[in-house]
Amino acid sequence: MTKEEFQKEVMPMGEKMYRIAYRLLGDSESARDVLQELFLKLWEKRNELHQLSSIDAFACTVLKNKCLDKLRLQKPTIDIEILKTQGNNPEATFDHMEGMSEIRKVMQLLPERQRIIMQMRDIEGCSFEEIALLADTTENNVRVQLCIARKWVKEELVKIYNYGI
Amino acid sequence: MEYKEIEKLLNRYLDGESTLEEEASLKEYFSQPGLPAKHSEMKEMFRYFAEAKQDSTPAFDITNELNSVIENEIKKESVNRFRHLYAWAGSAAAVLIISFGLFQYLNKPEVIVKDTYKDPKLAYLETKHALMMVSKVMNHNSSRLKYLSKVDKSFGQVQKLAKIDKVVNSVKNTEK
Repeated sequence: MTKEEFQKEVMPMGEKMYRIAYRLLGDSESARDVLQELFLKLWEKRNELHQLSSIDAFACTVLKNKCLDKLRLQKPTIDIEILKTQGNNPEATFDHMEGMSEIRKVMQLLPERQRIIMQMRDIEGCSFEEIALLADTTENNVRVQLCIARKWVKEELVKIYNYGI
Repeated sequence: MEYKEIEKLLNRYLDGESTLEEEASLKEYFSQPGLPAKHSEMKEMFRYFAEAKQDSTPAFDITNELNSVIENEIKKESVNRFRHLYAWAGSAAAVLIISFGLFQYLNKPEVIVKDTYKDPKLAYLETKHALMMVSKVMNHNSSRLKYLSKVDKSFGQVQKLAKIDKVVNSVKNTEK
């Protein structure tokens, strides 16, 4: 694959890959790093890409692994930070939600896995196939998780609006 | 869009069965102003999805960034290629120099007596001439050696002194 072909066929995936990385990592700097690593890898493999059934799926898998590596490295410090803030001030996690719209708060309260799946589908418009790849599960399972998450968010919002009235 | 159809789509959506196209039309439907208040929570959801897309919008120029990543990599690759070339050329040169040195060392030319004359007759005459020169010099110098015989003669006369010694001894004996 020449540089021009790479620019035409592979690079347009950049924004979507960045968005997915952002959803998985929850931070723009890390997402940027991972995006660079992903495209370096794709460039290295540029001569094998045409043999793949789907460059998108390959990119998703590589991206997921890179994000997992990054999370594995980050996790300990994040956990300690959260423990500390929660230890000193039990309302800290709710404090940082102040000023957010109701729906943002509700989304934050979803289990992480369901939240990420819902964000990927409803915000980023990923296909079930891509989400299944990223979440290491089947498309059916993605549908089930999505169904649970969507219904739960809807119910929570209905509650909030009804109490409001 | 028909309200019934929206209702149907919403159910599919909540069951996780809607397609991306159907979800897009739901998003579009709920983005318009002046909708009935019935599904205000769904309206809120879809409005949030559109708005949250801003969170994950990259704050930098993705195409630029990826292009520079690739350009950097191309540069590195070509530097590496030259580095390989240098390494190869260097080792090849070293091997050449060492083998040339070894060759020179092992093939030191032996001292071979070379014929200086092509015609054997001429060579013979030259040799004879050289030997004659040697013999001439030798003859000339050996003629001086004849004086050595005079030394020998002188020694003979010196031996007569021994007789004096004898006479002296006999005189000593008679004194006693």
